[in-house]
Amino acid sequence: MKLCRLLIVVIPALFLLNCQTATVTYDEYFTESYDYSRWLPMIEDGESKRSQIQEKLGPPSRTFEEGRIVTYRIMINEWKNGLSESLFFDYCSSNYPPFYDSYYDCGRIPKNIADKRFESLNKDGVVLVLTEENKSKYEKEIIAGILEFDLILVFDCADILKRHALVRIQP
Amino acid sequence: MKLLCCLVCLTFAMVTAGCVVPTPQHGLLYGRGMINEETTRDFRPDITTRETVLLLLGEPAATFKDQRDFLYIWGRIVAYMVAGGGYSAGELPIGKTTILLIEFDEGNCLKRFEYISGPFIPSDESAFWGRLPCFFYKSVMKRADEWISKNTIKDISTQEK
Repeated sequence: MKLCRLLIVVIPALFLLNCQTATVTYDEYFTESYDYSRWLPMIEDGESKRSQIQEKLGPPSRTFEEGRIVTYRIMINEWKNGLSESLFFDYCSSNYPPFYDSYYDCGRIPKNIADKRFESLNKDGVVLVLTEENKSKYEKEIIAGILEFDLILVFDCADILKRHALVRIQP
Repeated sequence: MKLLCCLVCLTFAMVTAGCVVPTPQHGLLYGRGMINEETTRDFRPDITTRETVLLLLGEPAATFKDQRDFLYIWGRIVAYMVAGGGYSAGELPIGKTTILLIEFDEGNCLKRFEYISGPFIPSDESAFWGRLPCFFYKSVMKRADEWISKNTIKDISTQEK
């Protein structure tokens, strides 16, 4: 009899748990340490030279104070061959992240979708520096992208990296 | 002024009719991320530098006057306008545009900063409702423009002295 009662409680609870979809935010995947180690291993205060960084990332998006401070607007591009109109439409129409529930749920997305997207980004993504010149070319990628950040670099008079910061852009 | 009165009446009518549902600020309609007042709490004129601002907030959306003025802009949802009913019901997010303006002095230190905000309704500009976001957006941008030009005039008059 006790077992029966227990089952009456446990079975509906299991059903309810199954119905509830686990959601996550991309912040849980793209931690600062992950971003640096995976995408920007060359950034090290007191060590990295301006030329070394430029060799890897190319010219910066913007410069300030006569080049002492430079900023790179970086996005990780999963679409090596470009994002086609139809694929972009699929992303938008199926409410695929970042559109998924961004209105209602503050960017929370089902874990299975986030896992899949993270895996694909981690595997196929490449660093893309956005500039005024190429911004319009990658408009679709910017809208559909989930990992974009500003890298701010401050150099000393010997062109050695003095300070840096990564500012994640909210998708 | 008449337009503003009409808009206020219309908004009041819609709210009382239950077709505008206010919500806490959420989502990001446009812009590259919101900057809350907590983030800029420690900004101090003559002490905070351009370097600190950039390291904290990232690249500005626009700069003016030889990078002496920075502009950051973003829009968030603050309400929904619900129209129709049953299966034909639709909703339109009503947003709030916020602009953060920062000015630096010649020594690259913070001179002043201010948040300017106003409503924003993302919509099709060809439709009737589409003209509203344009109006609101222009009003916010006008205030931002005044903020920047006010100081420019002041700068010119100082130089003249």
